[in-house]
Amino acid sequence: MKRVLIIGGGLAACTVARDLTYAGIEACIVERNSSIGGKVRNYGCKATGDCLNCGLCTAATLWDCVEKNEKIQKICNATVTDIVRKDGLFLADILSGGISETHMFSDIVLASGFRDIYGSTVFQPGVIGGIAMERLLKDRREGELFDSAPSSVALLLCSGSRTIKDQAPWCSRFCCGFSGRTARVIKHVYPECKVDLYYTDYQETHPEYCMEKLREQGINLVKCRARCEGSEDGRPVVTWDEADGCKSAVYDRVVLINGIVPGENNRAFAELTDLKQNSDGFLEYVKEPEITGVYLAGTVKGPMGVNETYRDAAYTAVRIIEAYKKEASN
Amino acid sequence: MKLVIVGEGPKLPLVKEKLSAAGIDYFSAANAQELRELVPTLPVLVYVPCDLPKFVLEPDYQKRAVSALHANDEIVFLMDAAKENTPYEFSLVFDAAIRAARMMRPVTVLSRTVRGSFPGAEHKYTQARDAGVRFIRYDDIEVERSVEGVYTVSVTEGTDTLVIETPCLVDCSPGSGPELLEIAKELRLKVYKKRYITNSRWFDHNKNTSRRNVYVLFDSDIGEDGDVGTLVTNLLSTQNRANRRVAMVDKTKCAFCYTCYRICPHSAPVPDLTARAMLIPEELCDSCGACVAACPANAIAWDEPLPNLPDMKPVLMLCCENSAYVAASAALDGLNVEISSMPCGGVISTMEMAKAMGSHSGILVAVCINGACKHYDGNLRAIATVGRIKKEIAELGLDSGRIEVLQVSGPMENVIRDAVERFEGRINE
Amino acid sequence: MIVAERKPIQEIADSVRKYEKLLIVGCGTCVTVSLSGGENEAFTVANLLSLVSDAKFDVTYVERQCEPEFLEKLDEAVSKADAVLSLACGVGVQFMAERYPDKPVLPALNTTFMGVNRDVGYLTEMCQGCGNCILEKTGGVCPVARCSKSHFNGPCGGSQNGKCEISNETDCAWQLIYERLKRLDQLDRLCEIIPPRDWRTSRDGGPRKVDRRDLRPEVE
Repeated sequence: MKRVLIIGGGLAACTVARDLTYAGIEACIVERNSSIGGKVRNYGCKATGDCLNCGLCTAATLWDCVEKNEKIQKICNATVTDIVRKDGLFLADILSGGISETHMFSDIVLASGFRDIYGSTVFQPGVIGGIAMERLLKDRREGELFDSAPSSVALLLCSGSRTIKDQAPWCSRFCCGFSGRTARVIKHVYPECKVDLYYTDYQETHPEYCMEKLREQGINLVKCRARCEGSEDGRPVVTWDEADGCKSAVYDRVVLINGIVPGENNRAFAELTDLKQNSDGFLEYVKEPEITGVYLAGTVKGPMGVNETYRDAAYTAVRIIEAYKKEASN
Repeated sequence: MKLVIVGEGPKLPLVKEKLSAAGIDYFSAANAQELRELVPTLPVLVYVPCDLPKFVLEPDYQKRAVSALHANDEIVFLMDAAKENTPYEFSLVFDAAIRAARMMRPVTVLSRTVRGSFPGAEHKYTQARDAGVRFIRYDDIEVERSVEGVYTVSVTEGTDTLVIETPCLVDCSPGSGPELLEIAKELRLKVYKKRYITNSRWFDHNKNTSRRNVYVLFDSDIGEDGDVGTLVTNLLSTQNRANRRVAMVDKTKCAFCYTCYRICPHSAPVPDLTARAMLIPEELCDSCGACVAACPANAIAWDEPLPNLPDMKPVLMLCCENSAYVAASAALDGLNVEISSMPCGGVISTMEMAKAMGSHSGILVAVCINGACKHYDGNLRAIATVGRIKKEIAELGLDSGRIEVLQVSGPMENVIRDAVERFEGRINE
Repeated sequence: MIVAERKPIQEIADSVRKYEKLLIVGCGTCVTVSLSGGENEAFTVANLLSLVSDAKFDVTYVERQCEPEFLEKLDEAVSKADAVLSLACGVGVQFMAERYPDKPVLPALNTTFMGVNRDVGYLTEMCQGCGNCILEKTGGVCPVARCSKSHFNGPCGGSQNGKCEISNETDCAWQLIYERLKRLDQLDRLCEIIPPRDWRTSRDGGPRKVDRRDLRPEVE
């Protein structure tokens, strides 16, 4: 029997599910929120004229496809509470609506994603986190992005990444691309607005939003580690250090571009499924998944952008399908 | 299964091994000329090697070069990021810098910024630092070379200037290979900044380019042991081809004018010289409809026809299924429009639109944003077709505003709703 | 091939205004390849005309309107129509008119030149049918058709960057001739003067004919 349990209902999970059904394998998505889509479903396209390769259009066709596909069972508002191996298969307890049911699966895919560190933070007026910014981008209209036209916007990169203090010493890999594209959108919607991008290392080389191109658009790039603390007249203040002391500037809007940190359930999942948490807290294989039957897909493994997640999930699906084909031919 | 590999580079033998192990035969083409001579229906794999100097890519070469230097000669790696090295390239340069430092030489890496987003970047950076590599960031640079081959490099950051003199300057700024560009041109691939052979759908997991049967493989895609992961499997898999309509040529009507051959974004049509007509192999057709719209003899049709355009509501909305349709089906509740999905914007033809104008007071064609078309230029062809129809109906004295084209992507729900409301309002006036 | 261009739609609409049943005939050879008169364009014209007229439009096409055997199939359809709108080149329109002398046969295209498809949808003039080909002397580039002034012995001096003074999209033919003769190592041909020609072999001598009736001699 070949039935795959997919823990999580976001981009990676849905990509795996869809690709598995192309190969005739049934999948069951268990998602703790009330609908599939994860975080990416609320991200916005960042084209201001030409496509900027943010990858969200590919994701957009995915949700519809998964929702309509009967071969993919979707259990929302649900969590997996226990996984037990038996005779080469997995028995998973799925808790949904107060009722726990045990289901049998041949393989498991852990695609539970990452944690949004600003998810429940209440910021001072004018300050928003990266993922909230994505939502604004999705809901934008011609000429309207924020609820009122700002005269100055600051984007602070590496907010919560590359910081030993905050226990996130890695680069989250997608933020530079995200902020470069976002800065372009803001400048496009509000051409008179001052847009400042505070960066540590700007990692993008794509010709449409590389540093050269951003500067051409009138976006200022400031290389320093900036912080957003305090306010002046109700507007947020950004501070940073220069050789001759501390500097600060006031903005109408500040976007804190947070990176990817391990999901809060990573430890619990690791224990349930014999996976390993690496030193950064993301999950890793201990043995080849073709042997254990437990696969990983997406940001549960580590920082990756939308496009990389899509590719990683597709590759995971390919591995499952190949393993199935090998079994079938034996 | 057979394919054609084009491109040369150090990791290619590994790739070929993996392909053979997977049962895939390959032909090699060294350049565009040879590519032209090989069978057009074979899939093509374009291998794009990393464009760094041998000093970086080949440890043996580096060893020999370093031992020819004096003990105090400084090895300077120049990453002039004005030309934008990728994180992958940075990781290779870091490796080379660490190797050089371990040969007990002074090593300096000069760059405008450090692209540290490759996996394990932080650790490598620390390793390099520990081995004694000096990292210097600069804003401006001037390089001069003397007759004897000694470089004088002066870099400035703010008000500080540093001058280094060395016979060993390793320029890791990316270049562009002319053969590669020619191959890309031959395959009708889009090339960004003369280096990235790809198109806007590069993120598609099966390493596709805009051409259906052309794949691209960068060095950074290849694992340490030559593992090419998804590529091999996708070459072998049949993908989701069920229930997909393909284009078919009616040989009796085909004028053999090569219009479809030139227009097809996927290089699918193959001339059948015996039948003196064009043939479109099913495996190559990507169902975009460009040929169906463009054939001047109406000789190409879908094997399974598209559903007839509905003619119920006053405003008809033709949406590309890859972008606009996703947004439209989520966002247009309550509006008095008939929404119809098409495989690609490029499916529309003047002939059909002229007919549809007879049964609708307005037609809104919604296609992908520039650069996002899965079929390379279907959106642009749609825009050109709508432009043509507007001109024709204006000449006939009709209102050319009755047909418009709109570019959106899947997530842009508010944008599409606003556009439809505006269009509807205008039509009703 | 023969290249033609569809007339502006309003001009066509005006010329067919008085007919209630119109047969629109496409041609499947030259004008299909030059993207102006194939079946696709025939239907496009019918659909456009339908937007402004209640007349009945029937669309059909034949392989070529310049062969009587192909036209035979149209006899019935033509008899039922008030008039015929032909999307063939001037040859086809006239040939149809000859075959159906009692029906108005109207042209939908302006026949322009003999030329080639440079790129999809971009056609340029190559030959004017002057009847006396001298391409051997000019490295394969025609000074009659491709030089704006049809100069026979060198450029006029008005070209800039290899482009003709009438338009920077038009190549200077003599530039092309020079480059070609250079590659063929025949630059000495430029020293041969091509004398003024007898233009009677061209249109100037009246309508021309080619006689190959030796292929089927008359039987007494």
